[in-house]
Amino acid sequence: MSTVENAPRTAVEKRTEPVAVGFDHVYKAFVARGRKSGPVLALQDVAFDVRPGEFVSLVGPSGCGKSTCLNLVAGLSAPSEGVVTHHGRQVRGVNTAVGYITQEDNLLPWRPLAANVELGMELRGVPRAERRERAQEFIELVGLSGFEEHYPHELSGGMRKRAGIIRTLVHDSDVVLMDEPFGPLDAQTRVILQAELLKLWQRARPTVLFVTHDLVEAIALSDRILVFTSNPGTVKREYTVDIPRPRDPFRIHETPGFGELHEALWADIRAEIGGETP
Amino acid sequence: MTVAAAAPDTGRAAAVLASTAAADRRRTQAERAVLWAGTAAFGVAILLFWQFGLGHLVNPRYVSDPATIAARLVELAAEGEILRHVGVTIGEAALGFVIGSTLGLASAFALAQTRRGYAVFEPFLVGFYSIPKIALAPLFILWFGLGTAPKIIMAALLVYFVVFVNTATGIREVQPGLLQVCRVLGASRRDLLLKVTLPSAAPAIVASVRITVTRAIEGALLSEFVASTQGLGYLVARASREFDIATVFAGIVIIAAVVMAANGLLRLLQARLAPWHGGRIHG
Amino acid sequence: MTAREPTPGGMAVLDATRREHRAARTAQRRFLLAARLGIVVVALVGWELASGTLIRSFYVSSPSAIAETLVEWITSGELFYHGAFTVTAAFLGYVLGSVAAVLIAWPLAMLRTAYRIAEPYFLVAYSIPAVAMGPVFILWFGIGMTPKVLIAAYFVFFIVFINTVAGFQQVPSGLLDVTRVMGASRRAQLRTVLLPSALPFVLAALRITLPAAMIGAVTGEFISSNRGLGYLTRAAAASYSTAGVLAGVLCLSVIVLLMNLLLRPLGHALRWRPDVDVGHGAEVR
Repeated sequence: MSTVENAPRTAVEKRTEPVAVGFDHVYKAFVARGRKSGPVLALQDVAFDVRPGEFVSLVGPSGCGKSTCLNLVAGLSAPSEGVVTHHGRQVRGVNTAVGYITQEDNLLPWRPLAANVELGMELRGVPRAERRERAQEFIELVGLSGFEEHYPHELSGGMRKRAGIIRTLVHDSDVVLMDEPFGPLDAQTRVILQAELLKLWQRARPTVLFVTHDLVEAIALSDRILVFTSNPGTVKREYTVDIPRPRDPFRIHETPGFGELHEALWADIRAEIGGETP
Repeated sequence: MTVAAAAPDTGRAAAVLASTAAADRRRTQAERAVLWAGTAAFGVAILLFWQFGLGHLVNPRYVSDPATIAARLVELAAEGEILRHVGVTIGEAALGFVIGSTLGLASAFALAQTRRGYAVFEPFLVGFYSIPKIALAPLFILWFGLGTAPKIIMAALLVYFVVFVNTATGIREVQPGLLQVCRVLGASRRDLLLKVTLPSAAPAIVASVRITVTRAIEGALLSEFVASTQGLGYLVARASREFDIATVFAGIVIIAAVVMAANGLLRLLQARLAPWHGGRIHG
Repeated sequence: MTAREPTPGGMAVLDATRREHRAARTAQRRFLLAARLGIVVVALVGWELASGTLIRSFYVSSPSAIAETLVEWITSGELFYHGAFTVTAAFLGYVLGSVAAVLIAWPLAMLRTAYRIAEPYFLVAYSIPAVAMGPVFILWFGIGMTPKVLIAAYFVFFIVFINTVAGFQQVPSGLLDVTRVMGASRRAQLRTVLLPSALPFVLAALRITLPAAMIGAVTGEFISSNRGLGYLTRAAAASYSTAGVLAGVLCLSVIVLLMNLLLRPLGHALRWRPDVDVGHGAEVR
């Protein structure tokens, strides 16, 4: 891992490489429901680019607006100021071209597994035979064969997570958003699913924006890590993960370069949580 | 490799906050305006329909109209008789509430303690639940006469069931983890009851008070309808027998007002005393 | 995650536990049955003996007198004549009330502003006990089946309405967001998320309200009628026949119990939501 301190900012406008997702000086303010206080600034002057096929993690203390960034790309809310772009075009309204994997698995409880995985395709009018085939392909990929007719409440947490993930990945969207997808799982299941996620990702190499609290996870999965400040959130520092692919989440601790990177990330986060300047 | 990002432009931040706040204020005001306008319009529509349209659907002789009803309400208030009737009904409901709740709480605690006890009696409870209480009204009158007693008993009966079910459920839903921990700490059965079960079940019970009070009023009214010499139910029943539709409606208005007042009061009390409850109420 | 097969020793323990458990369950079931039967027998016998000796039979009647009255009613055809009236009124009111409630609640639940406009009026209407509306319906529609049907419908309407609205409003917003990003139109969301999510609540309400409709019909008969089980009970009271009143109560209770049993299959639709509870105001009065 190499560090370039206080390097001049590479201006967004001057980039010549194609940009899959772009944040151009984005601000986002929310009015809280209780309305006792005024509006709260969730994001402040957020500017970063994501290249096609890149796996980028957003890390930072709780409440720093990482999930808000994902919502902006998905078009579920709009920036108060600034522009969020998807392949150069501004995101207006709900962006159905991206895939969104939320923290709760949000499986429809009244549909069995296969029907849930097929949901997106069903909504897009994909014919039944094709739907079934594609869904089956992914179900087998993540080791859920045999559970196609099980209802979500009959599946374990890890299995439901897998289902939520393949439900989105089955579309081969070129941009996939993931909001702490492995958050509520136990440590062992988490590592297993990280490995499976990488395996799935290698197939089509979509652009991924991945929000997580787990720094080890971020290092294991990403090409780049963006560290956010505490509220109001902005990008504090960008890290490139030089560890070569394919990566093994089970043994990520042993790879050279991991230790330094982890230390540096932790120092940044600690500073944000503690309020000290690094 | 790391790249430190440029310092954010905090100047714009204040402007963004201000414009968001302003936009939000505008939107809330617009919403509120639409709401008021809509509610008023709806109300006017109802009144107009009542005045002019209802007579075409039902027997026009018994439609009355808002103006006459209002006049009748004023008359009743002036006569002063109305307060006596209101007082009687409220009194019956209140006594029924007290009796029913006490018995409900006591029997629920007694029964729900023993898992077996509750299991044995459960089908009987379902059976009693299925009895249409109004059918018992003549029985109560047979037993207790025409005075206020049968009304109080009826109100108490309706209240009893609600309180019993909610208390029993609250007791049975006490987290076993809590009880286990306290037992290991050395709590006696009495301690468990007073320090764990009771406080744990309390929110469910408190939350059900609103439904209970409504039931109490309904019970009193029900009984008065069947046979009575005073009370709001009696007033409405008598007016309907005399085909005095204006008084019937006036009576209904007063009943609705009493129920809403009781509910409103309890809602306030509940917000103060038990704001944390989030569970389900069986009513 | 593969689980391992138990060893023979482990299997033996599993079998033994299974047998013990089954035996305990059977023992418990027998105990419950015996206890309940015991209570019923003691109650009936005690009642029969006490009536006339300890307590004046006028007040409590007796199981034998009630049985006699019932037999009389059955053989004279009265039971069927009046019972059919009440049950028909209840059923018609049930259908009317629930259909109206769902049809009105559905659009209101979806359009927030419309709901908030209607809400205060609804609350006022809800505060009027159905009993109080009884005389109004009877004055409007006379003494026949119509007012009873309407009172029954009134009872049913509010419960189904509240539960339908609750059903639509409790849809987790996460599900709606996720389907929106997947590209679902509002109509597609309705079909795939909102309706299936609200259905258990509606069904739970429908399960509970048929007995409520019965109560409504009986209430109407009490106020003014010349047919029906409510009328029969009231007539018995008027002629000071305690046995008749209790026989009437018994018939009504049995019908309500049967209705509850019949509607139990509706619970099957709730199989994927074991936590859905019956909504507000649904207690049988």
